[in-house]
Amino acid sequence: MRRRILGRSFRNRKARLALAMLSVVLGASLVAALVNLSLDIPQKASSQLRAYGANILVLPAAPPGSDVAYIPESGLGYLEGADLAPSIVGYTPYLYGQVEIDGQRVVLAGVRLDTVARTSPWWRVTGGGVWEVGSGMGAVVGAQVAEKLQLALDREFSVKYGNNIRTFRVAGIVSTGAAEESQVFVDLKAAQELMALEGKVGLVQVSALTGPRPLSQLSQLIEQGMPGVEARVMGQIASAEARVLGKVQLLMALVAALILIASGLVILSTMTTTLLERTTEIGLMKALGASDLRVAELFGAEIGIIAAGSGVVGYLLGYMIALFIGRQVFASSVSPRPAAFLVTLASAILVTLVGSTPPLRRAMKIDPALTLRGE
Amino acid sequence: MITADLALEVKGLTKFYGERVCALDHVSLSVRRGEWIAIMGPSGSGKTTFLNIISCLDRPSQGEVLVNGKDITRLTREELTRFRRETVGLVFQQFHLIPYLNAVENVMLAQYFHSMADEAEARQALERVGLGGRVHHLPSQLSGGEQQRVCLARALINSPGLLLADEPTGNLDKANEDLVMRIFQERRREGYTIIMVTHDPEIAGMADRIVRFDHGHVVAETHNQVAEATRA
Repeated sequence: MRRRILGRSFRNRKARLALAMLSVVLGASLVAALVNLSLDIPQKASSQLRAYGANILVLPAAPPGSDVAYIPESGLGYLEGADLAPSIVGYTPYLYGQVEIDGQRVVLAGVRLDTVARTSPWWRVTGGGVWEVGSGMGAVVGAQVAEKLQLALDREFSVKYGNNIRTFRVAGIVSTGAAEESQVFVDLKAAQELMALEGKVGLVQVSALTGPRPLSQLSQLIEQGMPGVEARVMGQIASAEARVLGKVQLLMALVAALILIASGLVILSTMTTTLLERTTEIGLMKALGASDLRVAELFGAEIGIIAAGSGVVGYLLGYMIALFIGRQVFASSVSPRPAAFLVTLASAILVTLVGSTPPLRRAMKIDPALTLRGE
Repeated sequence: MITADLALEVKGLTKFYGERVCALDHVSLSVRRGEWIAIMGPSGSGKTTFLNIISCLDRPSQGEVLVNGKDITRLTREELTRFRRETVGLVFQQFHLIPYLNAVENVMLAQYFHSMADEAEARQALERVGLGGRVHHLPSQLSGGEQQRVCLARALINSPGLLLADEPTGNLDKANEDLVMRIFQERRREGYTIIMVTHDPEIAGMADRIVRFDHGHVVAETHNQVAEATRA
């Protein structure tokens, strides 16, 4: 009988219940999106770092500017040595310098062009990426630099560093969505000659497996084997990112909380109106012998259905939002999380319960004798 | 003293609303089992207050109300609710049917609050009041007389000892009034105790006894010899 009463009651008040559910669905969907992303963002961020290939950054220990602010290229052999053998997958040395191209200041990076494509797989290079390693002429130009200096493919351009001038040819244009787009990449040897820093590199990106040894232990080994360098685990960078993410999550949580409060108010107003409309009905139920508990049970079931229905729909909607954000921001899908479902459901139930309690308590106090007289 | 054949015994029943309004003033009245009482009186004379108290919907300020020998003035709120659903059948002037439940479901509602809903039994109850063909109609699809008959079927479904009706024909035309009153007469023959508030002398004339209220007092009691003889 309870099912019949609930079914008929729902059908009778479709529009009002739809409004109540919609408000909870909105709040719940935001909670679902937030929790799904919160659980997935750190993992996605770390997988992105892994996709970068490099997880240890080797830097000169001395402050920049001094002669020792470079790492001797000859020392890089240690990274291929037996001490680190099973762990190091590969490494790419970089030498940075500020140069002038057509009178504009640009950051030039000397890299080993044959390895950078492997350690930086997220680079999108147009123009076939003919790096011309042998001649040292080829240059990969960041998209922003190419646009600013009108450097089209195959165009030759002069690079001035101090009094040294060298000519390169655009072999590719790189898009990364990051700082690389405002840089120019040339062969390491060519950059060393241009900057008169033969045999020196500014930093080394190292790709290491995390399985055989912890990264912290590897970085210690590198510092011991290569005096004058500092080996930073990229996790430090990840933790800095995590702090930023934490702030973004806090903002999302605040917005979700505000929307949930608004949902609670909508539920409060909807349920109050509904119970006012149904005062005679409640009075009649009591006159027919329904205990307060039975009345609460009937209305509680309605509230429960609204809460659970909104929680499930909100979760599905929220998951789709998280999926969309995941694809747009991280270029990957977000995995469904049972914990996110539980948190969403709990939020929907909580907000519906809190919003429904005052009108429900009022319903319990309805005097059947008065309401049946129309008072 | 509790008399075994009394369905209702009221002694010194007084009801105040606030400090000044006295709706009932030391009312005493006894109703035998199977007796039909019509309560008449002008508006504000205390008829509905009396009915609300004996139907356990309201509490008296003073006095004793014994229904089937049990003093309901001593019951807690929960006990009153239980006593009401087990002992009393209510018929209202405004019918008070749940608008989104059909006829049989409205009857089943009383079963549901009493013990367990039984659709077959609820259908039978509707057939007994001549609504066998209207069980799936919503209240809005029924005439006033039909709605009142659903209300009667609902009041009778749990076989209460006491059938209380407040102006049951107040909203009906003559034809429907006759139909509804025929059902009351049948129930009286079956042995139900009926207490009915009415303004209509013709309907009151069907009762065994007419009790007149005025200003919270019982001012007159008239025995209907014909009705009592018919019943006998």
